[in-house]
Amino acid sequence: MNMSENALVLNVSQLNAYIKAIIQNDPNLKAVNIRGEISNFTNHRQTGHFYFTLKDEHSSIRAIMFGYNTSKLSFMPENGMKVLISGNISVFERDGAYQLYCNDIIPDGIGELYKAFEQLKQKLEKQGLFDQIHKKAIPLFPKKIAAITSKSSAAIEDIKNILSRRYPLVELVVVDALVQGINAPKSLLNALKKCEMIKDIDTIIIGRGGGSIEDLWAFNDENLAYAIFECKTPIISAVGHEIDYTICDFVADLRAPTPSAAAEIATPDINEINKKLDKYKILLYNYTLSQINNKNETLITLSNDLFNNSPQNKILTAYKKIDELKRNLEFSVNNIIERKNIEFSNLLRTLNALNPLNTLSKGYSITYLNDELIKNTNQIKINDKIKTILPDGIVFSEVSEVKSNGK
Amino acid sequence: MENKKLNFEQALLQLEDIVTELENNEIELNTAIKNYQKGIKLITICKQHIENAQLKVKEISDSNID
Repeated sequence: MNMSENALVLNVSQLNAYIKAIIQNDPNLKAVNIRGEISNFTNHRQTGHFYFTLKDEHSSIRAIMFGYNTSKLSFMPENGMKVLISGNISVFERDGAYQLYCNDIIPDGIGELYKAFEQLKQKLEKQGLFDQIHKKAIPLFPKKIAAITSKSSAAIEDIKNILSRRYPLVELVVVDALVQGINAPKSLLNALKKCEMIKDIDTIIIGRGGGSIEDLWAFNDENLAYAIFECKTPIISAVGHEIDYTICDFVADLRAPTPSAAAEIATPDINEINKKLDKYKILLYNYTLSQINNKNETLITLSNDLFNNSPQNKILTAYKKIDELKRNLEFSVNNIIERKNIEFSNLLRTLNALNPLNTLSKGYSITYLNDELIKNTNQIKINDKIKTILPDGIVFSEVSEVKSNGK
Repeated sequence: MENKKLNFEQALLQLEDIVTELENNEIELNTAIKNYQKGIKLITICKQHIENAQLKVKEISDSNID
């Protein structure tokens, strides 16, 4: 052993503390994103800490995730699962071991992602985050729309294009956010919080263009799901293409198949409104005209009523009535006269048939004594002056003899 | 003139109210004609809004992400 006399001698603790300080001060190790496969996984029940080894084909590192971080995970890691981990490197002084301290773990690889996606989807569904009753209506005429997406993406250009063409009256607030990678969920959450602080936002569009399932993964973040659920402003989710479904789509108030479609759903079409305005112009004219016509008809009806009830008209009516009565009267009187005439001629005929003078013409005569008709011989005496009526005159005689039959 | 202050949505909603009211036969002639004039004004306002409209875009950066 060849040790100089004034050489510095450290004990193990000092050495490990020193190494820890060096590692912790290295900016490259303060925030690392590591890809690997989980093995030797232990879930410490009491504390909620996860202990495991992260490995690839050639190498491994011990890893720990503390309970306050594991509680935020949306899935349960297991041995053999391929993952992406964000965290930092530090030293566990007791063992002199450098370790990966995990802040977040996300599944890496399509099979793993689907497993985690289904786990989270079922969990949130059970909690009622997707229930239809929580869905807010999207405003018909938004004045301000916020779009949470990458400000340099094709998606935001699509949204701008659609809005300029379809509804340029709206104001678009682009809230820039990372839309893929390990920091994307935090960035999206942050953007959503900013949106909620901006006044008068009517609708929020959150999304990005198409990509692989890994690219879209940030939109399956559990905390983002809760934040979307809690958000007071209606949210349209537009992640990837029509075939892609994310947790964000399920929890949002409305799902649009693409960012362009979201811009269309969020706004009315100005051309349709223009047509509607032209229709309203015609309707206004027609309705007003028919209002005027209706009033005019009412006026005509009323003035007719008024004339019908005027004194002048009453007199006219009375005259007509009098004329009619007069005609009736004349008719009735003429009728009576005619009837009486007929009755009279009938009577005249009967009277004529009964006239005694008619009998005289057959050779009979009537004899009176002092205007009394003589019917038998004992009415007269000798020397009575009698009067005999013949059809063509009267004979005056003196009785010279009276002779009764049978005496 | 207060109409100048109306934004597009307010003008459109007022217009729709007026059209609905005119559809109803029970209004006074004076009101009907006033409504007509107001409706035409609102249509002009809406059309002006549409003609002058240009999408306003504001960007909020992705800063203070820790």
